Amino acid sequence: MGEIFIETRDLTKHFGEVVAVDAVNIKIELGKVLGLIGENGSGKSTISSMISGIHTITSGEIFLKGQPYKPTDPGDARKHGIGMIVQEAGTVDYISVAENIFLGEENKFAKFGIVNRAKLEEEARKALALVGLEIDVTAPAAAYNFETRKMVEIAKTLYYNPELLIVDETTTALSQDGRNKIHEIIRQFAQEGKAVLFISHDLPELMETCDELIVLRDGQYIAKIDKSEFDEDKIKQTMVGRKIEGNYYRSDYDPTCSDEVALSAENVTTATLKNINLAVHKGEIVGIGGLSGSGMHEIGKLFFGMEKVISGTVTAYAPRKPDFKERRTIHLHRLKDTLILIGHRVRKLFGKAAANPNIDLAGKTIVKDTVGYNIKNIKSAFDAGIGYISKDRDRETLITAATIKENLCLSATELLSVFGVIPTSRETVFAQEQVDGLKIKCSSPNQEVRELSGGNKQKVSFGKWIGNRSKILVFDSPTRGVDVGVKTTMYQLLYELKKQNYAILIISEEMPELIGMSDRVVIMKNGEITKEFVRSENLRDTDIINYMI
Amino acid sequence: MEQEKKSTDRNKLNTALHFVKVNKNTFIRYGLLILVVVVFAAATGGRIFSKFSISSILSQLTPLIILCVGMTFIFAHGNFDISSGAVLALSALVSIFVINGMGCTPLSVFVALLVGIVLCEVFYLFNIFVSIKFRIMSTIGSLAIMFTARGAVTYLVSQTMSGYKLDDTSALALFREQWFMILCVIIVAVICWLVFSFTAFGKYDRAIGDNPLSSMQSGAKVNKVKYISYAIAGACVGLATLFYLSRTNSVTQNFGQGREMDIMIALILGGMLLSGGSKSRMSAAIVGSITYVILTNGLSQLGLSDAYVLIIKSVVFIIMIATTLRRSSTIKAMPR
Repeated sequence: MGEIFIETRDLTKHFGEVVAVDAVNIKIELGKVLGLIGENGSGKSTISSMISGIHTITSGEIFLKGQPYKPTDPGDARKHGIGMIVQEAGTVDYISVAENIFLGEENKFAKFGIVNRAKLEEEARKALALVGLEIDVTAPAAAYNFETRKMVEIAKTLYYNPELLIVDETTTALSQDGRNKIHEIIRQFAQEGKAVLFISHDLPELMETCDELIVLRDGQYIAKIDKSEFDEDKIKQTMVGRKIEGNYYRSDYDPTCSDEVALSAENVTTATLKNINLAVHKGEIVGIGGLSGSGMHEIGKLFFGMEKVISGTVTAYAPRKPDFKERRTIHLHRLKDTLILIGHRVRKLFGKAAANPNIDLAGKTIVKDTVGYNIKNIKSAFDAGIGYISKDRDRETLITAATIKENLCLSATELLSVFGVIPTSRETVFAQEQVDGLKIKCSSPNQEVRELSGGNKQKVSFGKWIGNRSKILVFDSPTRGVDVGVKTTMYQLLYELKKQNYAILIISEEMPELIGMSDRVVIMKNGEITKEFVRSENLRDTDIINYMI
Repeated sequence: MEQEKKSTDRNKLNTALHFVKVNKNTFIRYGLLILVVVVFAAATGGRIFSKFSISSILSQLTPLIILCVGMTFIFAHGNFDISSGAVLALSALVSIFVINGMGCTPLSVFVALLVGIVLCEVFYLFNIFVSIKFRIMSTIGSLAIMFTARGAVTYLVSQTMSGYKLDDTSALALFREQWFMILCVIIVAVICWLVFSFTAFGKYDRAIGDNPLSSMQSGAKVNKVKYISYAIAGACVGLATLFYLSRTNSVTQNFGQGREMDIMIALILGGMLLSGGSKSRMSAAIVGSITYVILTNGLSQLGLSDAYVLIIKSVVFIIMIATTLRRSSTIKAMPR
């Protein structure tokens, strides 16, 4: 057994209410390649980020060769002999390769504040030699393809002669050739008596390269498997295999729904998606699962008109737009309602409180006939009554600096307007309707959204689309960063919406959620649909995992 | 018991503090107005509200409110404009050409107004077109517009001995009438207030200032909203031109200089955030303009020279920016 380089004791990381890493104990030995595997959100990247100083530690300790070690930032980790290669591109496009390698370290080559370029470039060439790369170091990084830039990053990391190399999902974007090169570097590195922590979604790759594998699930340490015991099926079973708990999700196993298609993609190909055929029916919940990079999030964007379609068609079926005459009737009806509403408020002002007038904000629904909308931009998706919640709701779906009311009303301007004017009274009624209906916990609808908890923020996002009478809902990771209590409410809500004949598409990284809620689970891998499962009592995540990895 | 009382007291204090924080801009808006009114009424011994002074204030206030109200649409969605002074000058010059050429009739004044508005629209729409098409910061675009317009004015004025004059100074007499000024301000302010506060366009305009991405995903057509905002601002600049021209009846190369700064200070005094967003209010433009005009008039009535007034303006500007500027609120990273 080799010397232990890093040891963690009860390493824990919280992101707000969510526990990302839960009291994990691992040992990283010198001379060995240790693999980390687990589903999305199992805590792999969070652990490596804590070791390399990107994230701070919530509680627990890390020991480096027996000494307590608490990195303040990646530079500090580097000084302690820890180098990390990340998933995303880490080079700056318009400066030279040599400058990229020594970014932030130029002082080493400086005399009286002037950088010795010749020396810098010479050292850069030496660094690149470590990965067997011979390129022009004076050319800008943008001149090279992604794979070469990745190699430059690796060279940069290796130049500082780390004792622990962390490779975090670096290989996913590379060709087989590039992968082989990285595997070779990893093997060689371990043979030199140093340690490697290798994170990947690709099981065969891990089994080939690693000496040991640690399986994580929901932030917890599950098992350690030695190379001699590597078995693809067994590892997969270990990765998933959770119990689906009682009435947390819906309890029925009836996958029937209307035959009427609400949303469909036919032979759609985009930059990331390949030949997608998918239909969502009225009263159906379709769940989409996959690993990161499988293209599942792009499916959501596709249905909201945000992906550029190369071939194929995306169609949504919804009532046609009212013509001029019908619009006039609707707005006249709304005007009448508004006057009633204002009259009621005036009466209240004079102390004559009466029962709240029962007003349907949508006014009269005249148009019943359905037409197909070709979804090619957000506007067409909007016209077809599609609601979309992005995975990154704080940046893309909500305006956190605005109030709950302003957020709710923004997507419902069409519904609230009376001949082009939006009366405050209608806004107030509308916002209160959503706050009550969704039980959003707030001091008043005029509270700013950024003051709310994650779950209540998400309720506001739900309210935006349920409120504006969208009948087709595309929700990307609807329970991300949401606590258990609110999660249960959301599942109940989704089920109720299903019964009200909404067509719902859920994209989720959590398999129990997909199995628990969907009528149909669609699994994606590399931009393609690999398998569809119909809702059944016997569906287990162990069956599904095979089609994801 | 005692402790309980203390904690409820603290709760009350916290609620009060929170209320002040949330409504900070409203407090700034009306607080400053009351402050300048009280301070200058006391310092000038009420002279600031003499009949003469009021009419002077009104003639400065009218075009400023019209400008500020128009600019609010631009500032609300987070853009920035500094070309208004120069565009005003060029528009005034063209108006003189029209009125002098057509003879002094109500029709010619009306045509001059239309031509002025069209000219301003051309400049403003070109500005936002360039900004959207080439992804240039709109401030930079407006800087270019400013140089172009100011350059044209300077060149044309340099061809004459002492600038351009209206042949008949009674041509714009209507724009010096107090009832007309008040009427125009009310009409423009009410229309803009309605559009800004009660239409989908106005709501999108403010939402874009906070978060263009979310606004887009909530149904806002971001570019269209920006074009309409600039069109409204352009129309307001065109209208304000004739009020300024009616006071001087001539255009020299310094005509309109510094108006863009007046607008900015007025808006900030009204509690408007220069970064825009959902906290933008049309009342900021109106109340801010009044505060600003009383401030400058009061200072000069106290006998301060223009140089000092300028310095005081700049100090007020810095202080207000520092207190109202919203620091970029960091959105916490969510777990994957």
